[in-house]
Amino acid sequence: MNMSLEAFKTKVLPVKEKLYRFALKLVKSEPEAQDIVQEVLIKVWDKRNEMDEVENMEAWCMRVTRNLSLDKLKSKHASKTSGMEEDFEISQGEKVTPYRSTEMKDIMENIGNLISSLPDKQKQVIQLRDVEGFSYKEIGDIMEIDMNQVKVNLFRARKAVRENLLNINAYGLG
Amino acid sequence: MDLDRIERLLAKYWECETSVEEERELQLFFLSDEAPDKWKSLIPLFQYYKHERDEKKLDTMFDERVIAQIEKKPSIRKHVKVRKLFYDIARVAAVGLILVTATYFIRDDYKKTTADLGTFETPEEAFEETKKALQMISKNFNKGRKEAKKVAVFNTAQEKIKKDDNEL
Repeated sequence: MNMSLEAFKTKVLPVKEKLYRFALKLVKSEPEAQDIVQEVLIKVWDKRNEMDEVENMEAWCMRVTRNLSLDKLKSKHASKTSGMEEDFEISQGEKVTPYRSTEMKDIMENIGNLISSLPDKQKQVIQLRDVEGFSYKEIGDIMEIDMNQVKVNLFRARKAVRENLLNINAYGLG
Repeated sequence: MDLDRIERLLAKYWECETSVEEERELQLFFLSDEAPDKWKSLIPLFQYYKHERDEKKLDTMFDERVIAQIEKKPSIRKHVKVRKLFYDIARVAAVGLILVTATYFIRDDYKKTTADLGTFETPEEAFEETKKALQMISKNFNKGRKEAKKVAVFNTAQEKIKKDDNEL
């Protein structure tokens, strides 16, 4: 079956935010992440006759997003070498939850910094699982690694996060 | 909320043994302000994941840009249009060519027959010559028909393309 523009709007376009978040995590630049998502979506449209054969369209898009993002990073000669000082910002938006106290904000920022300092694979796996809720199989497909690798990386990432939280709890924010 | 269950799920979570659904359950619990004190330190973690999902959205014009880019692309239908135009032109050109050739030959023969008209002695001879001339015309017409048959092949091909396109 051929994909109509309507089907594209209702089935493909809604995936865009997930793709954008993932691209943004990887390339760390909003305009570049936008370009990547746009490129991925256009790719889906160009291949719309073959998309029926794709088992999981969302995971397919995420994989293409990842590959394009990594290509972009490579072509930039990895100018950003340290992930330690990622500009993680918690905006104090209008929707202030009861938790969004200054302390909460600081801890969240600390978690963000810790996660962005993790090795690339761990960082991506934890993003795909704990933020986006993909299954291990989907994460394996997206990152082109086997499920054991997914689990090992997720385990290490969660362990680091947990230890960090225990430290904060015991000694406060350093 | 069953706190024992949460405890079990949490232990499984750190071991990476929880399913996606169970993890969703944990997230809902920790975002619902029901967590007892011993787990309060985990609230920022699940808040962080939620924050990551909610923040950083694409701008509202994004969809329009993508759709505009898609609409700019030459669609399959456009290809068909170009192909159809080509066949239409080819058909008209073929018919035109036949007509021009036919008129040329007929006029040529007509000229010959009129020029020879005065030389016939008997009506029989004239009749024979007229018959020959008519046969020549008919032969040329048949030539034209052969060309027309070729055009018909174009037509069937075009119909087939149209049919295929409709099925797509």
